Amino acid sequence: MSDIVVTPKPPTPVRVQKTIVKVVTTQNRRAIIVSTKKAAKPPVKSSKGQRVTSLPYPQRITTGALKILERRGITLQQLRTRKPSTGPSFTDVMLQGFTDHKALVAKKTAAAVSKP
Amino acid sequence: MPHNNNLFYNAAIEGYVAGSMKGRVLAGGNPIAPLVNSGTPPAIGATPDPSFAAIALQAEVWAGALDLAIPTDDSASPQPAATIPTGTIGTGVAIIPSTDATGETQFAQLAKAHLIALASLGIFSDRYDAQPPQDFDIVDGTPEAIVYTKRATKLAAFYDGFAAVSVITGASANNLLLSFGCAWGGFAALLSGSPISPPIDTTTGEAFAFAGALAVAVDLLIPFDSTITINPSTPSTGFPLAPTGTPSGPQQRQLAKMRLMESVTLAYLENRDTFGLSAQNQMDLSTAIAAFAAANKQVIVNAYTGLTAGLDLSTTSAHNNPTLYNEAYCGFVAAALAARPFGYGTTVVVDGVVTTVPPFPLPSSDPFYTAIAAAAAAFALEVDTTVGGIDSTAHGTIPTGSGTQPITLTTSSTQGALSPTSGALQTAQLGKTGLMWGLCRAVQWGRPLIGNIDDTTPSTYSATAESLVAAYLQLCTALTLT
Repeated sequence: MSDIVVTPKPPTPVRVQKTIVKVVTTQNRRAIIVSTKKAAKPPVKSSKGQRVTSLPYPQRITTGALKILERRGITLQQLRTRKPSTGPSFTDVMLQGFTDHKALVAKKTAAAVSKP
Repeated sequence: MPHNNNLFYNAAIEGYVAGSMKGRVLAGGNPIAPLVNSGTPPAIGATPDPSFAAIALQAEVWAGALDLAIPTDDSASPQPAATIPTGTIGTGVAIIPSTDATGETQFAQLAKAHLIALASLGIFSDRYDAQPPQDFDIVDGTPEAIVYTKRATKLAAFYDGFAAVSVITGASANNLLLSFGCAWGGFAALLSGSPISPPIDTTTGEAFAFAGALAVAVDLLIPFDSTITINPSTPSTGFPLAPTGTPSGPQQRQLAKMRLMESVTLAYLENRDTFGLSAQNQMDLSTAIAAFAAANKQVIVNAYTGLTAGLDLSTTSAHNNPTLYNEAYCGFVAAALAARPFGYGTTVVVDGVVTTVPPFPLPSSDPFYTAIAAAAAAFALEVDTTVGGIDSTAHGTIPTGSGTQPITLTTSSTQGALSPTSGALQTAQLGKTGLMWGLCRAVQWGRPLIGNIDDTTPSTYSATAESLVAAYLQLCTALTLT
């Protein structure tokens, strides 16, 4: 599988869903607090029209990039899996090392025997 | 049956001490006031320092929890399955290694016990829980220690499902003890700071593959060592010599050289987090793993080779306990080199011409290694002197009352490591030597060379040695010596 190139999503302006105004009275003082509630980020929509949740940082991608990846055979599920492609594990490396060492010794032994 | 695996129990104590006491100063004030027990070393004294008792208590809690989490590692049910067992059925006592001429028992006992110790070091690194008893939660008038059951369960899963799987009869290397020493040193470095054992998943497997690949590559660069490994025949698989002899040269050399390899690798890989590298990359890291091993193997080999000369490998040793001397030496090395980019030369640019002086990697004969070795030898000498006596049958075990399992053998013309002719002797030797290494590495961590004659003057280390020997004597009582 080719390497996955992940394009970081550029920051988007904060969209304000609604403005909240509170009037607070404490010890003969009155204060007006104005705050805003951020709108939830829209979910990623795949080319198949599914509504899916956002991918974890830093794998958040744009829908355009997602379409490009899908054309390359990389599915959204692959991207959502934390480690879709793996290299050798510690055990793999050690066991392969044992095998390679045995082959090396056998080769040296054979070479020593074949010498007149 | 005291424990499921007495060897592992002691190793867990060693690792706990090495990790949790890392960088902690046992002597403070101006002038330095050593933290000691009321007795004069090697006696423990009537009123041990309470901090030592607190450390011992927490270490025992950890060792007990981990021991419960790993069933007895015997021939009926090796842990993990299909690996070489280390204990006798139903007793928890170690198999006698000296009568196994194949070296398999010695290999498995050293490899598995050191794995337990270094993994424990990693997950307790910088986590000092051992408060004095009065700070503990008091229930019914009894101080309640911190419980480590969950952490032990996770580490046992890591040990069984992942780390110890390659301790098998089919293993093959130039020198298996050095290969595994390198791997375990890498494990300790990668686990350092981890709040708990990592999950057994592909990210973990790949992260530790960096350490495995380095171990395999380093082994290939170090020729067969006849002083620790069975003479190559067909097939030559690198299993260690059975620890026979009076004194046992193989035992003394194997413990020392494996520990030195662990120390060098641990120091070199500290703060180099291949775990993060694995977690952040979606791609197959095979190429990166191979490149990592190729780039770093010669540094490890040169450091190991350059520092080997300072070990006491003689069975006519002039030191009280050469095995303890070697552990102090290696502990100093692990501390002095910790997280330093050693092995790299200095790049000089003159008129646009780039010259590396000296070349990378530093040769084993470089003055840097010579200086480290000389300082480590002075430190080890002071520690050995402070222990104060020979831990032998003839001279009495140290500390007094620590059981009947000495670590040194003396005759009219020899002095060296005692051959582990029983499982209890092996347990005692690995426990006491491991504890000494853990303490020395912990207390010296973060103390670089001073850079003058004081480095190689044993008295420079008097206060530190006095404190850590006091701690050693106290913590020896937490070991299982059966």
